Amino acid sequence: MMFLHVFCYQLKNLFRKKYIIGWNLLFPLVLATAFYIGFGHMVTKDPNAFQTIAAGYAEVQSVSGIPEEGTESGNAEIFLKILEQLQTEGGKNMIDLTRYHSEKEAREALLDGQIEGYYLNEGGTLSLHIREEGVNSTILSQILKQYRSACTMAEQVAEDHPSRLLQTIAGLSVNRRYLEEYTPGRQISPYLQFFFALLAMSSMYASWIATAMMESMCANLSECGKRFESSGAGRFPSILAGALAGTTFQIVSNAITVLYVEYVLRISFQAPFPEIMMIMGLGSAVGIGFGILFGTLFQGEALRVAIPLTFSMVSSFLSGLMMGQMKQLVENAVPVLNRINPAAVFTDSLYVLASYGKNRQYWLDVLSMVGMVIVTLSISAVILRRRRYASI
Amino acid sequence: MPVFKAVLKSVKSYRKTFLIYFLVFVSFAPMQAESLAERNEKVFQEEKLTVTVIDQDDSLLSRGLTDELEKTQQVTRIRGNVSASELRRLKDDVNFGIRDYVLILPDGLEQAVEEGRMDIRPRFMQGGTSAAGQLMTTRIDQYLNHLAVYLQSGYKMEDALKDTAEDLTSADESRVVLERQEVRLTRASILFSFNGFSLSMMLCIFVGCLALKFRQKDLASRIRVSGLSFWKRSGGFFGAIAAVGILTAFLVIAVVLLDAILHGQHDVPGLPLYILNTLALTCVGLGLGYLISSISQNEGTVNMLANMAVLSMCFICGTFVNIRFLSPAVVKAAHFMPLYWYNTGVETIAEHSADGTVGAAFIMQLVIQLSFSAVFFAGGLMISKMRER
Repeated sequence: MMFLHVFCYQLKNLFRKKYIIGWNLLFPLVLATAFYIGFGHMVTKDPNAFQTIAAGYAEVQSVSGIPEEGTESGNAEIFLKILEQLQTEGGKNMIDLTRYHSEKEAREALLDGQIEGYYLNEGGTLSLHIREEGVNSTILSQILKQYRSACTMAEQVAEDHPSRLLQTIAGLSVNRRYLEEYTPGRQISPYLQFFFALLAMSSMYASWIATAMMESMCANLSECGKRFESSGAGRFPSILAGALAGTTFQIVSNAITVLYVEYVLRISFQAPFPEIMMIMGLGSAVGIGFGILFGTLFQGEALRVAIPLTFSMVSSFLSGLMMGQMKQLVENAVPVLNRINPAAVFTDSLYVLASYGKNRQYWLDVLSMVGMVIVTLSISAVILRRRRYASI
Repeated sequence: MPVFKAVLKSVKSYRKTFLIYFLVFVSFAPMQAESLAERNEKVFQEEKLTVTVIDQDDSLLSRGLTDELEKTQQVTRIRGNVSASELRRLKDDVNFGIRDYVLILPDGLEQAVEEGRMDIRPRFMQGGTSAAGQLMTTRIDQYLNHLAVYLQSGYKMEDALKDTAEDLTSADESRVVLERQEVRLTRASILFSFNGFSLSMMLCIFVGCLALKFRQKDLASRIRVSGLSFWKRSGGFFGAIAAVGILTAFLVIAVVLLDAILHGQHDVPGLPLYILNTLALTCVGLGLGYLISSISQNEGTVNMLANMAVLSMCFICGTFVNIRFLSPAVVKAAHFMPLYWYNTGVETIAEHSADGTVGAAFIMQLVIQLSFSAVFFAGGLMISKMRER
């Protein structure tokens, strides 16, 4: 009965604290909105998706009449035909080609940003002019190289096996696709990681709730704590009830954030809601567990504010809150850090669930979070059990 | 002067929190710079992509193809089969842009190509439908097509591999002219860009908390009846927070310089301009902190509002996510935020640091930041006055 009583009053207490509502509920919503405004479009649309490359073609000396195949200008015509026919695997044109009357025109278009590069035919010798280095410029260069290597090959075969030249040319005209794409699991946007890290941050903020709660429950920390500890309520059931209240509050707050992101911002977490909520529950419990541990270990007022703040900021940063790929960088450099960082374990469980479903890694993440809750609460219990006050 | 001293003495009480914030930022910034500098190099300066080849075939063909890729790309070769978890890690690396491409050459590939069969094909992993992936797929397909044509034309595998490699090498001599150079962000400029977050955040929180403390009814009343004129009181207060701001700014600049020295860069090009830009941002941070304090009731609210305002701006103005990835509408909206002008200032300096002539654009960026700062201070003063009434 006392357990229920403490639980209800702690919950009521939490809902009445404006700063907790602000940090644990409003702040994630504001940040989620900022994420959505900033790069929400990139979650649904791949920012690296291949876009047709605008390119130009110009000749220094224009050759009148229909060019003959095999002559320099005739070869250039073949090159132009190849450019116009190039397509990606999805059937999209690779090049959007514009022909210019002079090099000057092409150069102006290049510097204006209308095209990403232009091919210049100087008396049959082809060269590529680009505005800047980059992948699209490299693709344009690759096309030129492909054309040149095909010409070299035809010359080579004509020299070694002239009887097979026609077969070679026929072989070159068939552009076989040898490679096939392989994607283990589902392809999800790397930008979704920011939203996972946001939920991790929100869950780690639960440590603030627990630290504040411990302040009002420990006799050496506040007047309220003195009253509380001198009452008939048992120390451990009360703390457990408070922890449960804090976890409930955080779960509600996380659920609101998840619903806001999924249904208002329309960004899907790519996983069923109940399973996401299970991870939210565990994440919240981890945050509360660490908060209770901090509240137990640190008695100075400044430390009780600074430690949870540092904990939530550092763990969120390392899980990818400010730079989406941070968790993966840590995974490659210091994998053990990702195993002990609660925010990284939390984001990993969401990422694995969305990408690969409930596999071994997912359950390992879940078990890690359960382990973190048990370890933090056990250490806190051991410390609190031995705490006696000679004088306060 | 007494108010000036009192503000500086009050700073002491926040020294632990300041130290924690400062240490957190000092540890975040180099990590961010390390990662962004690498990414920047990969996308804009080098055509080399990071490719991982899983060679399960270990044949003449697979070795030839890997050697060919090594000539132009940064290749990591893994021989034999890899575990499912390793494959997943590689896929995640590709997804987060740590690797550009993973190529799997299955067992029996050479035989299949020799016999003209397509039942055993190389597989690849790429991040989405990226241009980098498209490029690699084209290159590898080209290599295999050439090889297949040579084999069909009666060449032996060894000769076909040799001739294919020669064809591709001769094609590499194609002339490519670069008409304009891309802006290259140095490690120092990335760190200065990150200061948009760290400096604004630190100043917002400390100035906010200090202003709030001096606005407490009891303290404010005592200062008011001290006999000091309004101008002396205000001058003392604003002078002290300006001193705090300048000291913090020089502290973060010192961190950037220390980082540059530790990375063997003894000269930061455009340093005086970076200092000017940082000082303009300092004014913005002070102004925003003052404004936040005027609408806050306690330190918790100051902390929360500062985090909401600064973090949101960082995501929209290009501090954390490169501005070229943001939609045009967001970039337009970012024009109304001071951090955008700070970041474009950093880019302008990076672009012109070699010749040292930044021109009117940079002056405009400074003026806009200072204007934002003035608006924030004016807003803060107005709200404080209204609340006092």
